[in-house]
Amino acid sequence: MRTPANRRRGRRPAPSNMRRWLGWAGCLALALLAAAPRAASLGDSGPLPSAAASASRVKKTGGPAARGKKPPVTVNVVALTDKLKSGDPAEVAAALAEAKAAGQGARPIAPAIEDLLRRGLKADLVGLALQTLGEVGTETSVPAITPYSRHRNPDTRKKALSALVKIGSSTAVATLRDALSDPDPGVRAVAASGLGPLGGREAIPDLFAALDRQVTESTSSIGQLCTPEECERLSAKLSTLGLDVMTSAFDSILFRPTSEIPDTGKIRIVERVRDLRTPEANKYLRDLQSRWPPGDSPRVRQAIEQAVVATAGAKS
Amino acid sequence: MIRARRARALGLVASAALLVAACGGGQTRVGAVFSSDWHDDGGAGVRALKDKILAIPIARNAPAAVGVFDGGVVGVALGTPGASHGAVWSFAHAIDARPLIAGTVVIGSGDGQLFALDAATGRPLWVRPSGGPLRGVGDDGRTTVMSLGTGGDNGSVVLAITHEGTVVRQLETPVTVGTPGVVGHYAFLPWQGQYVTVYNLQSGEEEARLLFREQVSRVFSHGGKLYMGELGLFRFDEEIWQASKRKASFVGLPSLEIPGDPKWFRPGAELRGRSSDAFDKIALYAAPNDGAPLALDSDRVIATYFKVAAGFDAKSGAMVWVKRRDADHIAGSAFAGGIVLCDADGQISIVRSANGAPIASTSLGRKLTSCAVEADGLGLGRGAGEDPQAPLSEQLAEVIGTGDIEMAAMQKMLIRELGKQADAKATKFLVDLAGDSRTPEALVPDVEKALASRRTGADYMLEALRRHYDFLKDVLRPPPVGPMADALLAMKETRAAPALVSHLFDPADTSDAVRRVAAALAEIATPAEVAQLRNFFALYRTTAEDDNLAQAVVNVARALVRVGGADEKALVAKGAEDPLTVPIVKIQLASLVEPSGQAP
Repeated sequence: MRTPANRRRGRRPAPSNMRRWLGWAGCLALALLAAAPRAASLGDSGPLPSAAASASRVKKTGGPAARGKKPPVTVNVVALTDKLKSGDPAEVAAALAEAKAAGQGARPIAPAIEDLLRRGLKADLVGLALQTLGEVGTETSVPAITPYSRHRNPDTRKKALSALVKIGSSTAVATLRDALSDPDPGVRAVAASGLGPLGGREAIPDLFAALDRQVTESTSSIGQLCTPEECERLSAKLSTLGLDVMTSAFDSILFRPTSEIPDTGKIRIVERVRDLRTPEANKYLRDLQSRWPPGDSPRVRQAIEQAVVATAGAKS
Repeated sequence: MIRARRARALGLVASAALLVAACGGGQTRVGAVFSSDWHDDGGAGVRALKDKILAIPIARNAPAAVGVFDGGVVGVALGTPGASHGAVWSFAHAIDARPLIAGTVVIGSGDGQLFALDAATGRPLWVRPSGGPLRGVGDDGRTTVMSLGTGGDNGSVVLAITHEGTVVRQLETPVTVGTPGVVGHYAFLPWQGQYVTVYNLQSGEEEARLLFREQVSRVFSHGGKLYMGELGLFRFDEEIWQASKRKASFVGLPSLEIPGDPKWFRPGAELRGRSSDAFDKIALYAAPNDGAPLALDSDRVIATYFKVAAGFDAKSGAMVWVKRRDADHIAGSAFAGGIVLCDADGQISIVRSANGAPIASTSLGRKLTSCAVEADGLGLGRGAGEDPQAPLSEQLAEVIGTGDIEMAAMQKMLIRELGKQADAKATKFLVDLAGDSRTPEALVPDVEKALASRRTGADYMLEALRRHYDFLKDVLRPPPVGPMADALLAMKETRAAPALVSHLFDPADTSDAVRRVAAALAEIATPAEVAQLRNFFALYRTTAEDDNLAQAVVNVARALVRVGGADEKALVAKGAEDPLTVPIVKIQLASLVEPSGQAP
């Protein structure tokens, strides 16, 4: 699917191997989608807003963006496939773990994993298979994953959605939109935060509806997908939702290119944060100031600097 | 023991005071009256007397309602539907027991006094020392007979007083006399739960005695006839002398499954305080007809359960109508064709027994602590309350829908009734109740049970099955999928298969619901559902985490074998051999198909 996020990804310079591996490790260490939305929306010239976003950004660059190319195979495909077909849970688990660690280097294994999911796996292997497919799968893997997004086990559903977010496809967006109505709050959170990275603009009304029902993970995705008017609508919720909920969304919006969000919209956000006049607002603004790209949007930078001064010494 | 003796002594003193207070009364004879030496004469005594008694005209009782409030009693004469009611009257007096209406009088007690009021106007007729707590009253329009306690454990004072306040007779006895009746100069005194002494107020003699083989503790007149009973009613007519042979005219109530086990009549000797209690709120009302054989008027029994009133068919016991008021019903009285109900807000409602249609109403103008109603003198006007009423299913839904958890026991019964209705709309109401977040959780199992028993209204179920839990749309309670699956299976409703199969994949549905859906699909799935059935089989054959899901997988396999082709049979056969298949599922799959000898 050609989305703004994908287009941006395509313009990014290829990372070094070392950086990519660091990114994988970072991603494993973090919650699956903790910072992914923000990274996916960054412009080429934008600095990384945070360490988490940094890890995620690298992951994304090496993940879905690289899926179009044929990565080098780094596993013994025949041996792993045999293990996956062995029917022995221990063998299957070992093969999945190896493939998962190999990432895109194990892409030829994906059809065998899809087959496993279609036939059915032991409960403890289902999650691992979904995670592995998230790492090694392609769009053709989506039909095998999607049914698990309705599995009775919420952890399985979360893993299925995470895999879909990593692979990305138009059906993935529809599945994640449906999952915003899931009975489990954790599943809703994964869906809400995943729609941004997937570029699911059509999900904006649902994301706002979810936000109105306390699915605060929606903010980040809205921040990545919103039009200037929608961004304004989102930022107007600052007073009710609080700054801690809104920072990831503000980061997403502020670091989007001016062609998408004009400086006036960004300045309006900075002013809203300034008007909170709290120590937390000052802390966030200072952090923003430190991360603002040199030479990028001088008017916004000036607004941030003025806001930092205005909120200095604020008391909670 | 000492206390008992003291109480008895006090009772005697009080009785003595009563005797002294009596002026002009007849001689009190205790000897032969209530004698324990009496032997069943086979009704000979009554047979000899009955014609004389039956020849005495019995006036209808004055229709009236009286209520107790902090300052005394308030009352109103009830008008025949279509006519106006009387003006509300009140009488200020201390009240320590429930006022009773009989004939044309209201008898009350309080502060050691007994008083009589004209039921229609509230005009005081007489006031006198009571001597003991009031048990029951009979009145024939001229003479009032009262049964009073003595203050001790047993014993009674029976007092007969004219409306002018003249004591005709007073009788102290060690037996407990229930609610008496009076016709002319004959008082009917029920005692020991089985006897009714026919007592001549003029001579002071027991002229005859009736022996009943069923609990009898009260005598009253209705429709110009005399009745006696408690559990059921015996009529004083040509057959009454055969009471001891169980051949007297008798009518009882059908067995009704109503919470609280309400009774038609309370024991006639029971002392009742000034405030209404649960037995006043949970009660049965029915009027005897005047035909032969003796039966219930309009074939109706009316039950009250706090705010709810319901009419039942006297023969089948089936509910016919149900209504709900804002306040608890605390008293009632049935008459030919209707019933008068009094509620705690002081509202008096007259409704048609046959269909519950409101006919007339009035108000005592204040909240009541207790109430008494006499409706004998009322009659239905022509055409009164004959307008068509809403179907019973609608009435039930309206009453249940109020979600009054204090009446949960009654609501459970009403839900069962709703489940029994043939009307397809009853299914809709049950579906709505099950999906309504205002329905108390305690009632949901009953709603679901009733829904599962439905055999009509499939279209409403199909519509409901299209709904799923939807957080964003605030559909936070899934439809009652399991019960509907049971019902649709029983109806063999194949149109339900597509909707049912979608619920196999709804994580908001319980695993019990999924099990029942799968059981239905085993019988009613069509080839169109094969792909989804295969999906479910794949998802849960190896991950079924509880017995419900395991059973669902087996039933889905059964559906696949039934409506699928060779591929589906092979799929199930392979599942039966796959070591990854959940063991309990594996065993049952094996019985569905022949093993193929290959892993899936």
